[in-house]
Amino acid sequence: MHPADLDLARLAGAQLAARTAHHLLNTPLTLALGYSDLLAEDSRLPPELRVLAAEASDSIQTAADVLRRLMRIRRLVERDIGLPSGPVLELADSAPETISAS
Amino acid sequence: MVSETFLPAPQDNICALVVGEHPEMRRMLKLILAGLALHVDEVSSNHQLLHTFSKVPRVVVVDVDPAYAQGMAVWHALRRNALTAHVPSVFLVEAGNKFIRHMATIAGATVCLDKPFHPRHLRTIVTDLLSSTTPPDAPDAHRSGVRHPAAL
Repeated sequence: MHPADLDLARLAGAQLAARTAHHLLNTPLTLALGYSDLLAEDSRLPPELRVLAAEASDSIQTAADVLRRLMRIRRLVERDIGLPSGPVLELADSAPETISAS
Repeated sequence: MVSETFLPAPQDNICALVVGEHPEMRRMLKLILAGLALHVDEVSSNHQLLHTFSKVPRVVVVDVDPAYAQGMAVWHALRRNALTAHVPSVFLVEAGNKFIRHMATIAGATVCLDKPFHPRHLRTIVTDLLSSTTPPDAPDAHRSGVRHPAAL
């Protein structure tokens, strides 16, 4: 396989994985975010528990943001962070927040 | 800990209808909307069940995926049903999916809300829709043959 074709195939594989994860995790994340928010605003709970629920909500929102970002993968820029399983994607370069017109 | 027991008493004359394929999502949506003191009916995404709600809704919240044939059938059934055809609707859609958002708009969505979402965002949208739309017992509703139960 030509190296350019291989790159395209790898990119397509990454986009397929991202799309699948986004599709499968959307509803579970919606439930987790919804219930953690409802708990965080529940005045019957002690304040310290409401703070924990709010922290859970923030983390779920972060996870949702990462998933959304993965849907924007346009190229593969890898970064070796020492994981035995291999490199990870450098999201800032692989999935830019804004896509240039060029 | 989140129990309907402690929610505000529903206002009998304001009803929301939740339509969704996942029972867990319908349960959470009911809980969120009950926080607005609304009477909330729910139906599954089986479009044949869309006539089973008890009151004419003032707002419909839809959580079905139009990528599936059944989801699209539900969306169209809502628009064909005289009781829901002109009711404002909030369609919950996959974030960043322009195709689904476009399909929701074609299906008649008043507002699209990306999933996942914060409950307060849904409450704000529903509150705005309720305050900016005509109740079903208004003259327009009579002309279309739809009457609010409270007016019967």
